[in-house]
Amino acid sequence: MSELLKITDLRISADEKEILHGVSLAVNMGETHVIMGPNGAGKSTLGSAVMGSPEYTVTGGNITFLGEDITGETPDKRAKRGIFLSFQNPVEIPGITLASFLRSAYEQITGERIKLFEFRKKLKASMEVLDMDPAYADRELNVGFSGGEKKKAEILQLLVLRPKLAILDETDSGLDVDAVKTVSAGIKAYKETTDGSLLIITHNTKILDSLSVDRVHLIADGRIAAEGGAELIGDITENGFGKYIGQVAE
Amino acid sequence: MRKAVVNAMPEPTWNRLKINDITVSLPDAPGNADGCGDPSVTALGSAFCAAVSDTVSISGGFSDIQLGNGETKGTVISAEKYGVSEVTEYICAEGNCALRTFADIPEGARVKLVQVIEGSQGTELLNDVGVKAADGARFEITQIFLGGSRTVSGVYAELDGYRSELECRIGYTVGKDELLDINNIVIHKGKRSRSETDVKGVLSDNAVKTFRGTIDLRNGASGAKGAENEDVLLIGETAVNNTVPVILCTEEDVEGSHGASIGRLPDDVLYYMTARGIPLEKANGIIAAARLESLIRGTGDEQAAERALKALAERSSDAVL
Amino acid sequence: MKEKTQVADVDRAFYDFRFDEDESDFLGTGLTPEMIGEISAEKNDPEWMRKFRLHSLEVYRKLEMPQWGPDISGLDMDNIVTYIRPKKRMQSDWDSVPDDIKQTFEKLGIPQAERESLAGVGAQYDSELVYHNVRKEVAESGVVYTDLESAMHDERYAEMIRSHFMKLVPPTDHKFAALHGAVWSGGSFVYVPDGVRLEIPLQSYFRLNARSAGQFEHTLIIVGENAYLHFIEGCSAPKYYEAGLHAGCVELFVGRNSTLRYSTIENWSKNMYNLNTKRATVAENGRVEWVSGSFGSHVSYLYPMSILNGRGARAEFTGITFAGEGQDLDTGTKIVHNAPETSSYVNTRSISKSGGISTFRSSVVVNENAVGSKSAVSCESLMLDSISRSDTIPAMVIKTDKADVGHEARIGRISDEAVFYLMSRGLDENSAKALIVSGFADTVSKELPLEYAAEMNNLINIEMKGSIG
Repeated sequence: MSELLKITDLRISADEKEILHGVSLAVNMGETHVIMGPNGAGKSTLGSAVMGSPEYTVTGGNITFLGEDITGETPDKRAKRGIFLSFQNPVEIPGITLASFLRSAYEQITGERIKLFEFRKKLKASMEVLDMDPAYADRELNVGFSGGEKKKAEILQLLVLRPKLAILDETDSGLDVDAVKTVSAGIKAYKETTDGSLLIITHNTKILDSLSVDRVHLIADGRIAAEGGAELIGDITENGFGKYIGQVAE
Repeated sequence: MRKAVVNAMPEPTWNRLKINDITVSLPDAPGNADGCGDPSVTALGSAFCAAVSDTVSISGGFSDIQLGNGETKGTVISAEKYGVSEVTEYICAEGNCALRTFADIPEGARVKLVQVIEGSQGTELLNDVGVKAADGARFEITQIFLGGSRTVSGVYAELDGYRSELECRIGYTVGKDELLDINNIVIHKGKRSRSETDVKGVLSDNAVKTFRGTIDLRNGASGAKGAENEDVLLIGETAVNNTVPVILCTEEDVEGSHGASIGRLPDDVLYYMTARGIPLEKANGIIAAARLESLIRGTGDEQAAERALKALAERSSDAVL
Repeated sequence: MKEKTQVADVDRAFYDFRFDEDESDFLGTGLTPEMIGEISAEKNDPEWMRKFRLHSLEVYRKLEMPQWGPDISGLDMDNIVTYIRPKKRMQSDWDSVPDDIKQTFEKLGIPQAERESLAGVGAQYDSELVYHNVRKEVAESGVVYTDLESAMHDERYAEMIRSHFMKLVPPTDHKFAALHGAVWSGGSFVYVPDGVRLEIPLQSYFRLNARSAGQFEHTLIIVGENAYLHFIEGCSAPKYYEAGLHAGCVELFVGRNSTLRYSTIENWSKNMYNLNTKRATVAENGRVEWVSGSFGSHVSYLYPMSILNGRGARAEFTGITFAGEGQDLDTGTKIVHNAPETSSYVNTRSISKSGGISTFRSSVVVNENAVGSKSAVSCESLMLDSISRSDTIPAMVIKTDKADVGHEARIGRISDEAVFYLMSRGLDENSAKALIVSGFADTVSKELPLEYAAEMNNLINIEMKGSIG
């Protein structure tokens, strides 16, 4: 299986404080990985760092994507390579509609122009998967969206942009049962239509029910505390993080 | 008696509006004018500063200041690094007189100044406050204006230091044949400096009030935040309100905001009060007094608060407020 | 391609009045009554206009330069004649048009012939056909849309023009209004009769270059009762004049129950001093809506003013200003509430970049008789770097207690978070910032007709990318 993402001994700081103290992991094409861990462990930092957030500074290690070092690349270049991050709190951009924004992102990433009508069709199809009111296409990007609507809009972008790697940062948090179902359906549709890889950051396992998980990484205190197959999820759900965090402290 | 132009806006606007500055009489104080602190740190202007004499230095406490015609007084507030200086000035003015307060606040220090200003008929009081703040220094000022024929006042704060702060609260009531002219200028030079200015007041009868508030966010003051708000209640048919909230900005990484709201009490508030049996004209007065009352009580100086509330009550009984 | 048409020749006529003496004889002397007389003769002014020009000249000589606002010391007031009658022939040839303007034309995708026309160097762009069609439809509705100079001689409109011309903006208003009164040339006259609601917007674009439209043009619009008009002035293509002074004047008279929407995208070339005066008076229950975009020029003073003279009259002002390198744009609006129950709404955006200075300046005056009036002003400014400047100088003068006046202003920057979000979806940094700025400008672009909004977005993109990348 060919290697898609490889993170080697990654150290990340923000405001001169180190958050990740040397994290390594690898994701192969088509795989689904899950990152779990307690609040403040550095899970979201890892996701943002792979996307290239300017908030964080890489102080050691590197990130490669399809064999190429992307550690110093700007987020747009990474997006063009096929990396996608579903934000935990997507920013509101007044004045720009979801549809026109997504169309220009689509054109940037694919490098091809798409006719408005054609794009609308594509968008509509994806919105149906997510049970989204088509009116959202013409609303200002994330402005006044509820928490659930924002998450849906993120998954909508995932379906339209069809990245090779999708990092989902707490996509399920703050959603009610029905919304989790819809979002899960969206993620499943992404998997089925693209055979892309998933890196799911979560502390909730409901979203994983309909997916077959290949590997689980447990992050605690900025380090990988444990790794394993899907069976680790059940263990953590039942017994909590306690015993793994203890190992890190040693 | 000399005439002088004071309270000039840092950036003037249309002359036709007649709000760029104001012309006043400078009192001819006896003896040599010795100025008071840094003459460039002033809201009224350097001409005014040069006319101030009789300057004392204090580090705290309550001052009962009686100013008569032709008198000027300067106060320099001294503060220790990381120390706290709390000064309350209760000012009763008559005739043409002037007062200036200056503080150069050192690192980490906090200076708190409360000024209650009671003018009388025929008074022209000039009141200037100039402050510089070093790293981590904080200046808190509360000014309560309780009338006087002409009161011309200003606060100039230069936030030089990293994380230096200004908190400015002003309350005023301006009534029949009274004029209040305020010029506030906050200069943000220090990184992450903060300023918050909150002005509340009531204009009744034929009062005239001008509030100029400038937030100047200078290049280099990254992370600075300046906010300013004025809330004016108009309950005088021929009252004139001038509000000029200015933001000047030469730094990208800052946030500046100002707001102003000028008008009557909202109908639903008035309706609610009349529904509870309070006549309309009383309702305005009650709300107006309440605005100042909360500010007066918030000063934390009981002695000054008691006197100010009494003065406020006296005003309220003979006019709407 | 330097074929001169008849129109271009007419265009030059004003600048062609004969001085047989050596030019340097008068260049140093400023404006003279003789010179004004020559203009009157050239234009075949009616007697009242000849006197009006001379009177304006007197006023001009007495008035002082403004004491506030951007620096205009670069304007050579002693040699004001050089702006009125440039030494070098205006609209000389395509080669003398600055490169940045040529590039902008290119980026805006304007055909060569039209470019030359817009730059004022070539044959007029062949929009005559479109123009005629518009004119036909307009004429059928009873609307008069013609050039001011010939309308003065038309007995149907002569009296109307005489009784309105510079009554709203008198020459005594300020020095450049007086200058305008003395040397004005070209411009439009629009009259919308009672009860006519013109659905299609009138665009001065069609008239561009028709007769020395440009530096000192006068626009006079009179809208009767129960009528509607949308007038669009200018276009996004930069207008270039070698002599860098624009002192135009716009006067709008809005009748009872009528609405006049006046949209402008100004994009003067970056050597221009734009000292333009625009003013509207609004009668009972009438409404004026200004949509104003300021992009070009070296220095601008521009504050469209609304005087609400009738009960229930209303003014709306939506504006955007983009100040880039070498620009000092002082823009905003003035509102006067002169009658009961009048209302005004002001919503502006300003952007400063690459050392540009943008100042929002406004005044809201609520007079004693304007009981029950309302005003709300909101302005937002965006600083794109730390070598630029952005000032906000609003003034509120309220003389009645029966008014509600609100004001809010905010200044800030593009958040790193928003840029990261957009970049994570594949946009490069400049595009991300340009997109955010377009969004910021959306309050204005959504008030513009579609094609103008698109052009404005293009302009923003050009300005955003011009010097970052």
